[in-house]
Amino acid sequence: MNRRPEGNLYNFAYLDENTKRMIRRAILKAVAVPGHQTPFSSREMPMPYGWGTGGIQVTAAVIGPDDTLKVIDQGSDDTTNAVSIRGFFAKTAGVAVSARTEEASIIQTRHRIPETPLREGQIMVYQVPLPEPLRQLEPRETETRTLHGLNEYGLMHVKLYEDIAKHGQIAASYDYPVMVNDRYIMSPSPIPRFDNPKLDHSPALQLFGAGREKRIYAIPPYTKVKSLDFEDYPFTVQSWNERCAICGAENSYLDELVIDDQGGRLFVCSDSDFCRKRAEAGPKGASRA
Amino acid sequence: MTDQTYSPGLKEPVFDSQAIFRAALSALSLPALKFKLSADRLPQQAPLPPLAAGLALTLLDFDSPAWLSPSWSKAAGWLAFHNGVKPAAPGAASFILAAGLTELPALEQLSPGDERCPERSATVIVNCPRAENELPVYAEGPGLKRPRLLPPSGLSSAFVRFWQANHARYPLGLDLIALNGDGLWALPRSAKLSAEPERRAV
Amino acid sequence: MYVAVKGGEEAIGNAHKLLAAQRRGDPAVPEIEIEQIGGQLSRAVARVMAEASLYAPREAALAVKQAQGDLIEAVFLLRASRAAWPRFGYSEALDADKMQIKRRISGVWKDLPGGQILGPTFDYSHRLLDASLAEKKEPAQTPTAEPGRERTEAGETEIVFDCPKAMRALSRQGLIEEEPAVAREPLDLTREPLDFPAGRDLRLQNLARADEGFLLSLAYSSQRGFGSVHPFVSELRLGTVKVEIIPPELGFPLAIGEIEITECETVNQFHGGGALKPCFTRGYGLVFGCNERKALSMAIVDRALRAKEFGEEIKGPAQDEEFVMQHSDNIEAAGFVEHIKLPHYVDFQAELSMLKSLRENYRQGGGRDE
Repeated sequence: MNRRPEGNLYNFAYLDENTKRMIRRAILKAVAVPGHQTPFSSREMPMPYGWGTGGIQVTAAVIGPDDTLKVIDQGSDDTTNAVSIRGFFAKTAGVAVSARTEEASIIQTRHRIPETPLREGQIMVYQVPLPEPLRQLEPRETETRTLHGLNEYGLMHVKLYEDIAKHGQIAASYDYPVMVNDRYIMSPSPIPRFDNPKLDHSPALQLFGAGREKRIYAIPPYTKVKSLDFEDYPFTVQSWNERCAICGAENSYLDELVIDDQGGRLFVCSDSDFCRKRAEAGPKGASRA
Repeated sequence: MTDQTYSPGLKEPVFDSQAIFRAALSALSLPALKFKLSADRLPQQAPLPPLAAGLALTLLDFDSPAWLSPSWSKAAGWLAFHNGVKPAAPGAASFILAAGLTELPALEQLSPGDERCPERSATVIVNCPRAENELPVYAEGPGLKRPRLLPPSGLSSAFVRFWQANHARYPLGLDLIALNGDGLWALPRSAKLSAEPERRAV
Repeated sequence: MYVAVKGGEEAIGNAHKLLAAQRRGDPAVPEIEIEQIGGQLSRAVARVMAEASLYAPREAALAVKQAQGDLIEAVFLLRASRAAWPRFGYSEALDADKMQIKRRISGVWKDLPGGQILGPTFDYSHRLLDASLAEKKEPAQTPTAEPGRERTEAGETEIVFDCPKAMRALSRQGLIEEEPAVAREPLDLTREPLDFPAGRDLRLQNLARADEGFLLSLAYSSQRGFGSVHPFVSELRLGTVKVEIIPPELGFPLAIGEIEITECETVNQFHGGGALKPCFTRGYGLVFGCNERKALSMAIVDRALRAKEFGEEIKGPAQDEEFVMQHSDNIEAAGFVEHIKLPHYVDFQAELSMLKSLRENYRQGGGRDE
């Protein structure tokens, strides 16, 4: 088993034990009240605020030597920030890391939920920049906290209704607000609305960490998560006319690549692990470059 | 002060407390399901039963005042020595540690949190014997794909009434971790108890 | 070609090497030493300690070096290191009355007990570039002047102890508001996340850690009319104070060291209102190290934030507790502002599809493409 890595100045998983206890208490309360933003005294981390400090603190409080960690940013294990965070835990906790969704016991993510279905026992850790779904409607924390307390969400419904009146649809393409366990409106973090249905009744435990804003919230497994909508304007997700140029997937979230100066475009899966698995299984790509 | 005040805590504090926390996290995430902990993770010479001792050192410290039920009050010095835990009256305690269901203070004495800060409620850690429940009770709610029968823990109908009153105040309310022999199970305040579940049980 | 947009460990490794080379600069020039930074760039070190809220001159100097003189980056380095260090306990409150004073001025009394002590300051210097500082000199063998001897209006003095506070002249006459009673142990925002309304204890802690530039602008805005503070400097003092702790096994205070601080007390006119009689009111600033600009700004903003207490009309952001406290921390602010450098492919893709679909609706609704 991997223990404290040799010559390391810091504790296992960086945080000291007092800090871990404080975060663990906050996580347990967050799980007990799904969707409620639980305050915690977030610490300065060696990465800047806005770059995943909340997620990193949650992961550090949860992770143990037997875990396998996967870190993604924009769906990919290879993006700079994912590489940096994975390296941080490999160094400070000496844990096993993997890019394979099904192998990971903890998946820290920024902006995506993997395409591969999650299972019971897995923990998703979301990096959250702005945990307050009402913030753009009401800038004051004193107010928004009271609105959540009173279950008073009229502001949000008015805003969504205005969207429909103005644009013929709810004009939120990511960070699309959800109602958790019929009680709290929650920000799912800036995942595309394409991923929202995966939040609902997921077998995995989903933890959300906002470092700068000092909030932790959670969705336990098998919990009702409903994207806000109206009966005559039901919630929909993004879709593409294109397929992934590498694996041919038709139902995954696609990144658009600019390939030349003449307006050439190529679409590939945002989830690099999902794409690799499909590509390895056989050549199905529409245009194999 | 007893001669156990300075008895050892966790053998490997970093790794043992991580394992114990994960059991508690799993238990609150999947209510009414028991998670076992191996004895070598737990303090064996503490003035509390090993499971209670291990969980207390994992979750409690100087920032989380605790109330100890009469049979466990002798452990106050040990908790202060290891983690700086401060004693508190039931209403001011973040954690309630009770040696049995009959030693629990009245529900209305404990902090349920408030509307703006429901997280400021007490967590009840209670020792339950592995014994038949008075009647079969099912839990439903977040974390439960289908209603689940509570593990045999000597639960009375008085406890069920206690819990129903607690759940009725949601999102305020207590959260409960039951120590049940070789493992623990939990009920977050979001869990609803009933004798006959609305959906098919597991 | 899609590989090119992914980061890759090698590219990151190279970026780190380039940063190290940039920090080192021309290898033919001797590397700057921590002692040089601590000794010759002491105000930079002081600022880093104040905003990191950690009094550690050597580590702060190291941070300035490592950050290539980027002070906010240096603050960040020091804060992040501090966050993972164990906390041994809380010190007793500092007693600034017992300061060993290096500089002490009052803007409201021409002369006062203890006198005006000018000390080390830019205030009376002409801001002209001094070309002689650009010349290379051999290290001095002996100090050129006796340490600490300076001319002041009060005569030739050295360090002054136990100098009475200038505010005492007003409090004795009952003209300044009474020092608000301390109802409880002060809270600590590094242990408990901020909640509103916050007390003055938390506000002062927040301001002491706040970004100097942010405080300066807020103080300025309130002086210019976005707020209603008309401050006078009762006293500004710079010097060292003892830090004491009471070990539980001893039960009496023990000095564990000295720190340099700058303290500012302002007085502000208050015409009375409600049940409150007319009196002067207080603003308070305290900063690690030598930093008068920040101590003054802090005292002005502290007073501005007390507007509600005195039933004053809220006219500007400097009087708005939530606005000030939520945006004063430069580590939080810098991180969030700079995080937009991170990839946002996924969200941008979502916005692209949204725009296409809005365009489609626009066309169907009779709108025309130009």
